[in-house]
Amino acid sequence: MYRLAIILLALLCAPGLFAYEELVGKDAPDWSANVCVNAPADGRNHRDACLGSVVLLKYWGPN
Amino acid sequence: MFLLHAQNEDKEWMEDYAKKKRLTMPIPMKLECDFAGYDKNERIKLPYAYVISPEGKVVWQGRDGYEAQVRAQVARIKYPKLRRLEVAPEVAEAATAFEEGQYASAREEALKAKETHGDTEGAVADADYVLTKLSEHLGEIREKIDLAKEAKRYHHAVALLEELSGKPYKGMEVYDEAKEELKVLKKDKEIKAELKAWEQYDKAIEAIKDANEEDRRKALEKFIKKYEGTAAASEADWKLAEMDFAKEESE
Repeated sequence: MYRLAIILLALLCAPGLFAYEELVGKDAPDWSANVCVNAPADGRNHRDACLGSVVLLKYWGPN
Repeated sequence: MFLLHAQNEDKEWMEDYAKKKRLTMPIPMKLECDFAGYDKNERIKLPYAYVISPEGKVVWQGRDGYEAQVRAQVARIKYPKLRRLEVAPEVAEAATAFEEGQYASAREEALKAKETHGDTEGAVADADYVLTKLSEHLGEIREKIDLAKEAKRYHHAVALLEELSGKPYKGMEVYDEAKEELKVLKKDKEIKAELKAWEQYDKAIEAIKDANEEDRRKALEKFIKKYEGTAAASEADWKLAEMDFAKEESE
């Protein structure tokens, strides 16, 4: 019985543990790209400086 | 677009990689930057993306398919150079002139809007915004000219001054100043010699673009000898050093 309760609890928590945080519709969290390869020449490397433009933040890796 | 580097390579490695792959977009190093608000619990698996609207709202998130959303958001921006979705109707002409690169007209129209609609708060604020952007634009060009002169890259300085003394700026103070500065620059003997060297440098680079390494090396060495002491010769020297570096790397 105790085991079953633990399994059920784990199943209930699983989606929350693995789902990404839903940010659509919310104010974009602050971000700062102060350490950057090809740093923007105009210094627009944080959220507020990019207001007025569309920003694509793409999580990425070369490998 | 910010390509947020979310793996373990260090910045130096990433700089080399970007150079080799010719990646020119900004690549923030996630481990050294602050993007915590997007992935508080470090759950994101690559690839993953967020699209942020001009107003600063997250409008899309997911693994793929962001292109349509980016296009839709970009299409909303009526005045991209000003980074404004809209301006007060009284300032539309000034904003349009700015977008078209007609800076003297933009200034004139913004001042006219302020004078004619001085009692309309939104119009005055937006006209001031256009004037501020104009001043920033002129400041950026001025900074580039000063840097070019400091580095004796007079061909760049001349090109920028010629831009400022062109029709889009006619009627502004900078237009007359640029004309005068150009005259002074072109009269100076040392600058004349530097300009000639840069002109020949561009020709030399064009002439050797398809040549083999040995011929390129010879041409650069000849150029350096001929124009010794000029900034263009220093640039040619750099080119040679780059070639040596590339050769060492490939060996």
